[in-house]
Formats: sequence, structure tokens, C-alpha cells
Amino acid sequence: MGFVAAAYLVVAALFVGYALTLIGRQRLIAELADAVRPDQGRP
Amino acid sequence: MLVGAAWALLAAPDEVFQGFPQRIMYVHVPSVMTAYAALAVVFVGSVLFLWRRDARMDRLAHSAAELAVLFITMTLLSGAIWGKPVWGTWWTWDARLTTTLILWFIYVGYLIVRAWAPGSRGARAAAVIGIVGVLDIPLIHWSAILLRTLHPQPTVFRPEGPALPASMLAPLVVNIVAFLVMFVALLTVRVRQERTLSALVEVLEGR
Amino acid sequence: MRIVWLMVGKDLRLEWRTREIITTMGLLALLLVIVLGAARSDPESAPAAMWVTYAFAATLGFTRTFSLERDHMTALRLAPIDRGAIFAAKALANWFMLTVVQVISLPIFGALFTEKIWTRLGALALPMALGGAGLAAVGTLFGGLITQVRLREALLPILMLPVALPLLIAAVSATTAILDGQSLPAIGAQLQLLGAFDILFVAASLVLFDFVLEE
Repeated sequence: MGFVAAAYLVVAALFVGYALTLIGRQRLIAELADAVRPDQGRP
Repeated sequence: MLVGAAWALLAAPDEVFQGFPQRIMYVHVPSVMTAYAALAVVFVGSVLFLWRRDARMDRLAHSAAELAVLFITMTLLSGAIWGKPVWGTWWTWDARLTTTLILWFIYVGYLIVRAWAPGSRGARAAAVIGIVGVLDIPLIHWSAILLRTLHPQPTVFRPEGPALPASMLAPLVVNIVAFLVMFVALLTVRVRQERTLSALVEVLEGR
Repeated sequence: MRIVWLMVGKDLRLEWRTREIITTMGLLALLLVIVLGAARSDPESAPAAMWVTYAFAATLGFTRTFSLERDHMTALRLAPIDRGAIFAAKALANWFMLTVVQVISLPIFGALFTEKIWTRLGALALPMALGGAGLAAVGTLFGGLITQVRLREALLPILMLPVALPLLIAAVSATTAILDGQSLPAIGAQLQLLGAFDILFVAASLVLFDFVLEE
């Protein structure tokens, strides 16, 4: 029934959404790390 | 670890069920238990942070608070979606629902304070909120029960049977464990991020 | 203890000079009474209207007692006073002001909603006082927390009202019962809740206020 699907979808969406924020923050960290040590990590 | 959690979550719908909407229980109950686990972490982290001034405790509390709001949201939404086919209504003012809703507001407030007051002031203010929120739980529950006995529910409230058949208990436990594992995984990632961020900010500010 | 009363006196005297806090709280309360009364003025709506009004008046006023100190509380922080005493003083001052607002609003509630408010005044006093005290305790704790935060006056309701909801529920329930003609023993459960709330929050605030006032 649609309700079960909706519930599972909502839960999944929330997990995914949070994971996306984590990824976004990880990118921010990478940028800041670059600012601190611009010469590290470049080939 | 994350893969394991996802697999466990998907395994549940294959199990025996009573009435299709009952399946929502497999995500709703773990959500609420994980939410309370997260709140416990916020409480302990906040107390330790204020008492010992340990920044790690603050990062732990902050991360746990984010996850608490996440899981409380999950609880509220999955509960409401479950309620509609089973009770005929999206919401009732039953003690548990009311308590969960209020906790949502309190911990969103925690996150707002951290957003609007960065730094140590915000951390301390949020810690106080974290502590007070959990302390308030029994009072909220009590008042919601008070409310309900004075305004009996007009809709039919069918409580879930307290004794679950074994065939349903197993997938439920699996899912609870899966949710808790997911919580710990996310918490670890988040706390590490906070630690790295703090370190980076310190270096940048030292320049 | 004497220090607490000294500080309460100081805050109230400071307030008396400009009377800004009481005036704004009072005006907001008056507006709320009128707006709510215009919406529904049947007697059953009175308790909810009353407590909504008091809750919002509280959120408007309770950050201000910390601004009475022009120097951002430095003098208080430096003085060797137990932080709990500072909380007690601010909370008592806030409670006093809220009580004034409650008292002033009662005739208007009586006029617009139901005269039973006047006839049942004696029994009403206890839930009003306990509820007001609870609002003062929570409001002072959170008010003190956010004195340096952006948009503190917008933030206080967001922080305070969810936490205070059990208090408001009990207060509305108690007020409804009293206006219905029931006597104090009948609202024992509500009074217990109100009392428990007050005790919990005063105790928690006394302990936590050290951290609230740190710079």
C-alpha cells in the first residue's frame, strides 16, 4: 500500500538528506584544508 | 558498516506481517528508540561539557543533537503516515506523540542557538538547552497524559498488541540494531568532521 | 538571602524609572486579550487566551532584565555573589512584573470573556501564581542564556515555549476547572505538575546559572 512506501521513502529521504549535508561539509573541510596548506595534495 | 545497516533495513519487508500498514513499525519503532538514544548522548555530552569544559563533549553533544532532530523527524513523519491508515487520522494528542513533537521543537532550538551564536557562548547556551530539554521529558509526558484524560480521544485508538509474535520480533530487532548502528556511524562521521573543522578554524585564525 | 532581595529591589527600582519593560509587556498583553477576545469570547476560551497572553508577555519581557545592566552584567559578574543568587533575583523580578501583568489583565479578561474570573479570583490565585512562577523561572534561565545572541527577542519564544508547554497545559487545565466552579482539591494533579515544574526549573537554573553567566 502507498502508505508503507511513503513511510519508507520518507525515512530513506531523511537519511539521504543528512548524508548529503555531511558530504557538503566534507567539501567545505577540503576547501579549508587547501587554504591552510595550499601546497599539499597537489600533484 | 553503512552497507550492513542498509542491508538489514531492506531485509525486514520480506518477513511475515499482519495487515500491510503494520510494516511501518519496522522503521517507526527503531526511529523513536534511536532518537531517544541520541537525546541521551546529547544530555551526557552537555553535562560533561559544562562540568569538564571538554570541547570533545561539546562536539559530541552537537552532533548527537543534529541526529536527534533527524531521528525525531523520522519518528514523527513515519508515525503520522502509520496513523492515517490504522487510526484514521494523521495526529492525536496522545502523550507519546505530544512529547515527541515538543522535543522536536526543543532540539531544533538547540541547533538554532548553535547557528546564531557560534563559539563558546553558543556552545554553553546549547548545552544548557540540551540538559533542560531532557529533564523536561517527564513533565511533558505527564502534562500530555493530563491533557488526554480530560479530553478523551474521539477516534478509535488501537494500541499495538504488547506481545509481538516471534516472526515479527526478529525483523524488528534487526531493524532496531540497524538504526542504532546507522546512528553510531553517522555520529562518528559527524564528530570527526567537527574535530577537523575546529582544528582548521584554529589554524586559520592563528594566522 | 539578603543579597537576593537587595538585587531584586535594585532591578525593580531601575525598572520603575523608565517602566519600559512593564509597559511593553502590559501593552502586548492588552492587545492579545483584545485580539483573542475578538476572535472568540466564550467563557470556555478564556483559560487558553489567558495563558497564551501570559506566555507571550513573558517572552517579550524576560530578556530585558538582563539589559537593565548597561554594562552587560560586568559588575554583577565581577562581584563575589553566588550565581544562583543572581538567578533568584532576576527570576523574582521577572515574576513580579509578570504578576503585575496578570493582575492588570484580569479585569479585562473578566469583562470580555466571563465574569467568573472575578468571582473565582481567590481559587484562581494559586494556579496563576504557580504558572507565573514557572514562566519566570524558564524565561529567566533562557533569557540569561541568550543575552548576547543575535535576535535574542525573537529567539526567546522559540526556546522557551516548547519547554514551558507542560506548564501551560497544566495551567490552562487548572484555570478551566476553577472557572467551571471546581475547588482547589479537584485540580490537585495540575497543581502538582505546576509545582513540580517550578521546583525542577528553579533547581536546574540555580545549578546551571554559573554557566549561563560565564563570559
